Amino acid sequence: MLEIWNLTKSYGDKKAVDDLSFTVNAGELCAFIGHNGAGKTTTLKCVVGILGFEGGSIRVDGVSVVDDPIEVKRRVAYVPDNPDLYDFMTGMQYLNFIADIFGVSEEDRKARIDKYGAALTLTPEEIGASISTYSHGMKQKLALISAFLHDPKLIILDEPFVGLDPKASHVLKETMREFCREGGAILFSTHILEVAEKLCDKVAIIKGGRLVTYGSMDEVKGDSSLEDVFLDMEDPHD
Amino acid sequence: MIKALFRKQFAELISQFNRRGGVKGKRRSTSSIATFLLLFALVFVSLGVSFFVFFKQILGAFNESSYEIYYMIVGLIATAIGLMGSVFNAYSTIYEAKDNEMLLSMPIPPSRILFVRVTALSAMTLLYESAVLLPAFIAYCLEARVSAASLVAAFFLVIPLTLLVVALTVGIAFVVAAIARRVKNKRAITLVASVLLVVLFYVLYFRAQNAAMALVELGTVPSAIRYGLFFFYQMGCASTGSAFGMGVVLLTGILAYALAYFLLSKYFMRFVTQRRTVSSKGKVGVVKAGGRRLALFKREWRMYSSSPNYVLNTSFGVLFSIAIAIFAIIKPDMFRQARTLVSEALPHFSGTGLGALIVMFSCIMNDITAPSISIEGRRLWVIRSLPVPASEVFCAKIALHLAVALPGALFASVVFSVIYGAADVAGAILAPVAVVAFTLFNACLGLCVNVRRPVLDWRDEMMAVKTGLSVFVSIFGGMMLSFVMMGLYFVAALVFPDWVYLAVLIVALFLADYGMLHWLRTKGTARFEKLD
Repeated sequence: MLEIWNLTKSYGDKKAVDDLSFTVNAGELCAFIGHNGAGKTTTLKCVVGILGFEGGSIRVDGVSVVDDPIEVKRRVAYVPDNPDLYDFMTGMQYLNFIADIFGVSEEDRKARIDKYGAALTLTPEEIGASISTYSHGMKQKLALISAFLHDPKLIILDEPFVGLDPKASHVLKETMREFCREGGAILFSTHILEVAEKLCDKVAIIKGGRLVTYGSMDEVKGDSSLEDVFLDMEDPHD
Repeated sequence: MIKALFRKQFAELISQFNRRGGVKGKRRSTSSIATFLLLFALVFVSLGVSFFVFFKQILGAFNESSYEIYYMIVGLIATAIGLMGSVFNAYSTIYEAKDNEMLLSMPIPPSRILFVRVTALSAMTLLYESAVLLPAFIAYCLEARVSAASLVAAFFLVIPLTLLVVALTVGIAFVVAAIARRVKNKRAITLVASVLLVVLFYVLYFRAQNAAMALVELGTVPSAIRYGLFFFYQMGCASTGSAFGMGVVLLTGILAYALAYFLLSKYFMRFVTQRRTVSSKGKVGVVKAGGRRLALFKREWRMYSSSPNYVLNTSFGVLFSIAIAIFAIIKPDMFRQARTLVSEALPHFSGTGLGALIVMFSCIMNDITAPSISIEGRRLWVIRSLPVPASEVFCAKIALHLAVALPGALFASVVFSVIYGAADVAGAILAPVAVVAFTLFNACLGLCVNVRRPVLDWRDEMMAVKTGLSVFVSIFGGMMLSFVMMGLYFVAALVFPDWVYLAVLIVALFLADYGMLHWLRTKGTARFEKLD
């Protein structure tokens, strides 16, 4: 579903992502792990087509993000780590806007808003309120509902659990698993290694813009925990 | 502690000049800062010159026995300008300051936080007032026959006036903030308050001259004005050397300032820490499907209409064009007489071209597209991550500009076509087309510059709306172009009838529009896709 080959992205002289390659297949849930400034968000933004890059290629469902970014965006949903949404809209206006852009029918959008709204405990009255009155967690929930709204093939989430209450966090994990069981793919960045370990089929660890480990969760962590593996990679002399 | 607070306040102030989008924005280059300061100075000087001309003109009506009326009017206009500039500054820097909670969590007495903020507010108020007081004072020095001591007194009137305006500003901003906290749509409150202030200013400005004449003819100031506008009347007296007047204004200014500061210190903590009543629950929304282009247009409309800052700073041309149209409907003979006068010197002159140019000039203050990319700010990721070509986003922005600016402009243009059209039917038909071409030109110019030089990392929306190259280029570029078009028009009127000039102008404007639209579709799109 997602193929990243030799991705290189620089900001001036600094290489934010350096020769990065990995894939996420349909039905897979892949955690993307690294310390702050490792290049996770840059990679995710390149996948979504928000950032250009100098080298390598990214394909989603066989479509190149460079050659046909619009087609790639039709198949992808993205939620950034701190979603600044349109605070001049109500939640419902925002969801209608996203659904209009993707051409989602009225029946489908109603069914999905009801389903994911109830799951993430965002009531119809809250969805009807102005986004400017939302807390961080409510914005996060609305952004997540909008991500599932057009039934994408690949979902890119940057720190999706930040700001969510325990129940919403639990429901999101279930929803992510269900989405992948139905053939979708998810790549998400996180600092919560326990969640990544329990939830994911695959893991990619990035350091200084380079991929240091990638594979199935069992391959990568072996008998130890993901946290031990990650800390060893961060400071192998300890 | 006070020093550190002043440094923070000063950094906030300076960041408006040397950083794109406020304190946390990227630092501007030296040339960019220089250009920005130069343009700022240009605006300030232009405003000062226009006030100087105005004050010099009204001073001619006064004599030794009526000079107090002059400074009374100056005081009223300076107060209006000071309030217009400072009320929302006070609202955002005192009551709704983003760092209120952070500073109050530190071991700093609230009175010191307030002292620094009110001092900064006073400095900004002084800056706004000086755009009126300086030219008024220079005109007074040049024209009035008063003693040197009176001139010195007039100069120092700036102190009590600033104290009074700051006190009024703090009070009005308190009321606005208190109302805004209790209602759901606080943007509407801000919009209404802003429009009221602007209307108040224009009423004062346009009535000042007539009021001055009426007072001079009366030969004395009626007691209703003396007592109703006591402070300003005494200010006028002080400017002619009245020690009593100076004493009264000084005492009133100091007392008003002290009272405002006392009340502010007493209620600031309670105001900032009280629970806000705006709920995050609304009416259940309706699921409703629509087209993609309509969704994009509605997004632009909501972004625009929900922001009083955006509306007020980019749409004055709508008010101007409607006001001109109404004026032309009320006094058509004035415009017909003007045509008769000009046509004696220019045989081909019919007035249809002039009508179109007047409408175009009134539309210069419509620069809705100029901050339309900047206003996306940190929300840009939404549209950038959606499967929408940049060209469709641009189309929606231009469509909004046309939807807001065109109705008023076309109305005014049709009015002028009716007034001047009898003698030049072709010109009367072409004039509205020229206005459409010019409005599209304005929309494209603002958008092109904003795509090239957006300010996306702002923290305060005003930074996106008011600053940035696109806003300056859109307004001053439009102004320059209008002057050029006007000059060419009068030259052309020596040889060609108006309709020929209008036809050529329409072709030239549409060619320029086409060029800019092509740039937006190609290089503009590439540029937009690199924005992050």
